[in-house]
Amino acid sequence: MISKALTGASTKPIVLAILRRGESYGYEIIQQVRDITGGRMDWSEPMLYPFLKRLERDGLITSQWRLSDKGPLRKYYRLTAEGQKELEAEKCQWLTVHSALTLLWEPVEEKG
Amino acid sequence: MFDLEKAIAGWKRGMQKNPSIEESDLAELERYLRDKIDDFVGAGLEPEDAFRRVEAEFVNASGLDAAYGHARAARPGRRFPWRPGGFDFALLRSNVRVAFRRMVRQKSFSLINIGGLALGLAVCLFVFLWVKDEIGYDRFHENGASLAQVYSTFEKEGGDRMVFTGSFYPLAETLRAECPEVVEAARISIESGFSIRAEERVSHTDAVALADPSLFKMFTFPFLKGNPETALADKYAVVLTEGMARKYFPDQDPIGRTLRVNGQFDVRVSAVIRNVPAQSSLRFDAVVNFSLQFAPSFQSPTHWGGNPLETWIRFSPGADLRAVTEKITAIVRPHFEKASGRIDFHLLPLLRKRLHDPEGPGLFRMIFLLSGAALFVLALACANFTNLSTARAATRAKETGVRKAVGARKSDLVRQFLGESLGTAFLAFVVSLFLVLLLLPVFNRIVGKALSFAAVLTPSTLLGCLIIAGLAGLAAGAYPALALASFRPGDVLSARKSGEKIRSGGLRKALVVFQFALSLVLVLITAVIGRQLSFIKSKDLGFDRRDLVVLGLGPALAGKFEAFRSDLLGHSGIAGVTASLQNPININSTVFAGGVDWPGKDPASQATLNWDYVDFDYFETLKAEFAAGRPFSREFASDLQGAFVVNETAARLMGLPDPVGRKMRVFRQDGTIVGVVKDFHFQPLRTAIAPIVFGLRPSARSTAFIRIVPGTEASSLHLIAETVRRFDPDAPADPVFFDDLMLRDQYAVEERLQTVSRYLSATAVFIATIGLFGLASFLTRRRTKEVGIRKVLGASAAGLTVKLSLEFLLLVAAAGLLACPVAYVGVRKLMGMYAYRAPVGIGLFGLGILSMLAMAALAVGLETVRAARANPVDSLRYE
Repeated sequence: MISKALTGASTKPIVLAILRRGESYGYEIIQQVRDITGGRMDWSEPMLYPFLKRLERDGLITSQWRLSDKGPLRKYYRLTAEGQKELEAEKCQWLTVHSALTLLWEPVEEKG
Repeated sequence: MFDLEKAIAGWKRGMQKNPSIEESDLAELERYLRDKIDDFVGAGLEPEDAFRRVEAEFVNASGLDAAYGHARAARPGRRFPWRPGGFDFALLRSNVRVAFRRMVRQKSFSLINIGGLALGLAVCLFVFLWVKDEIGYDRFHENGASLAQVYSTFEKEGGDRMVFTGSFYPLAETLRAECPEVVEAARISIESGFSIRAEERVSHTDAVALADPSLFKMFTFPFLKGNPETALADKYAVVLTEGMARKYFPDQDPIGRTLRVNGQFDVRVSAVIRNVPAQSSLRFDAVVNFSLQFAPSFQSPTHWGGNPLETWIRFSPGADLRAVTEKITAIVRPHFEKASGRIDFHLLPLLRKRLHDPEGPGLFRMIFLLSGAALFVLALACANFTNLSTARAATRAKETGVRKAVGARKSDLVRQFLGESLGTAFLAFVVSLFLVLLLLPVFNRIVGKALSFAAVLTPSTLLGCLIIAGLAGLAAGAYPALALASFRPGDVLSARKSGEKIRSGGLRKALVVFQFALSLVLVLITAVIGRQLSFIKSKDLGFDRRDLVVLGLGPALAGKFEAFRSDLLGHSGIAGVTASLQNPININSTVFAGGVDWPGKDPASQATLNWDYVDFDYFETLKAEFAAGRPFSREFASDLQGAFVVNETAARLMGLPDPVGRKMRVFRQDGTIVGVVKDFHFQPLRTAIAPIVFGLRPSARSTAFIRIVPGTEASSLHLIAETVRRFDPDAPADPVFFDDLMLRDQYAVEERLQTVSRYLSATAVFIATIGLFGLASFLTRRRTKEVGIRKVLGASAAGLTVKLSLEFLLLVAAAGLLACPVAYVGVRKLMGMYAYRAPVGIGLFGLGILSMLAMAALAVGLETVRAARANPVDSLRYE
């Protein structure tokens, strides 16, 4: 299981990254996260919705109620230019952390 | 049986209780719920189980509502908009309750705060009532806007300008005939003192208007009985007001009945009109035909002379007043070619008469002064209010901090505090209404009016007052509200920086200075008015006005004057009896240069003299002294052939070094100057002593002067009244002392101004003083701990009192220095009205400042002495 703190920190880049692939609605985003992480994220699924609201308030995503051929009336979210930038920044940070950890996890050589 | 839709509906109802989850949020969450249930059912679960599992997710997500709240907040982490927008009645109720509790807890403070403002508002309301009444004069005439009085000014080539509101007999007729813009014209002369008798009833108090019949075509005096067209057609007709008709003919139809006037002739009642409204410049009880004042065979004089009648015109609608004025001057001026000077005619619109009468008592100036003073007092009360509120604001810092910490925005706080001050102002307004209601009779007595409280209760007045109260509340509350609302909660809540640190000392000091400066200006001006009035009362007029009784003479008594005089002189209490045409309280009849002549007169001389006809013993009775020659005397038979007495100013003007024995001509009478009387005042002290010539004409008696022996005032007055009644039962037997009559006739405005300004400045001082008291006690109480520590360290009570008081007293002293120049300018302006002024020295100003300081010391001292004498154990333990 991924810890609560890490889940909290990674939700934003994950959601933004999912939306970078194309617009989506809440339940679909939840399913995608579940698929990608294998259900190992420790979160309460309904909590995604206020989180989306917050991203929208911060101008990173926009939303629209729409009917689609796939089903009933749903609220669809889409990434904004601002969100795109934010995602790049997030990516940069996560990659820095990632490379740092990768480097640190190299097998340790005995000091001679 | 499980019903999924019902279950979802129940879930929705539960979710709706979350205040931060809005309808659209819930719709999205419901979509999630349904999608997930569909998935579970697709995977083989029973709908009920599927629902329970998804529902459980929501039960576990307990922070959902808060998360929505955070997501929606303007700034993250600041506050939860649990109650999104809108009016919150519960909060309002709580705020009102807090305000009310505070008010009750700080009783004296609230009393000062509300009482001060209420007093200020009440003063304003009183003055407003009075001004409204004055402005409302003469508005009841239908043609009011197109009526005007014709008056003239005469400018001598030397530059002296005289105003005559009295005009000329032929003026009305001439204007009607020759000036197309003049639609109607009427002569009016309102006289009183006639003796009017109907059978047994006799009265002298009625005012009778002698007027041309066109009066009723021009002015609106509604008829109850009779025909306006023909009411005054007959020379011996009289139109009575309702009140006068009832007085003389109770329970009878007055039409056709007769009244005997002055015991000389009878007039028949032809019509009855409604009583003349209180707000009328023309006031009378009866109207008779103007020609009634002349002998039966004589129609009306045609000469252009100065006469005591008013000429009123109604001009055609839309007429240009300036053009009409010029036309009138052009028409009339040729009649005055001989007058050596420039005569101009002017129109005084009826609606301006009350306030701007050129010969009137200067009501406009008085209104201006008093309105200004009332606004002063209101400003003072507002300053008081602000001051006390800011002082108190500091103690509310903690409350503000707590309110902010739990989420109040600045605008909420501004609203709360402004609302509080508006509420207080409104309360003060209600109190002021009660004050006005309570004190209206007193006020009416002071200003000599019958104002009714009903005038306050009109919507426009109430609205106006509410707006004033609202503005006062806003002005007074704005500073505390903004200052309080911008406190930073961290500052005021932390122990280090308590409310003590938050001060508005600068503003407070400025307001104290402002208040006391204003009060002092009012006090000083009041003192000067009082001084001038007592100066007038005690000024030596050049003759002995003490023990001098004035008596109006009707024609009957005037005819028997010699006998009347002998009768009176037979009593030991009477020292002298004489009579004259005019009263030396104000002799304003003049003879232009053309009408007066003497040998050696410069033909270019513009000399204009006042004149009066007097009886024998005139100067002796008045005790006027002579510079040369002698008064008129029965021992010189030639005096009755033509004799004059001039005053010193006249002698100088005439350029005669030794005038006694010289010939002189006044109007068409020749005579000899028999004496030069020393200058004495025969006009109000507003004007300098003018040249005057007295002619001897015993037949021209309209006023008697009786000198009584000092100490016999009551018995002599009684004797005079008795004697009058014996000689003429119909005559008004109301002898009055010269002094009283003079004050009543000439200085009524000053008297009234003095009374009103006394009240006003007393109110101002009172408000400022209680304000200072409130402020001092408040600030001193906040320094209880400091005082305690100082005492423990050895400070004496006296030293502490001085230290605590000095701060305030210095402010008051500064106010005094500030007020003096302002008051000086005001006083100079006021005194400019008088040719003879009471001496006003620096002492008066010093005294004003000192007494103000004494008041302030008393107000501050009460509290500081208490604080300084308190046992430090109590004060330190208390804190």
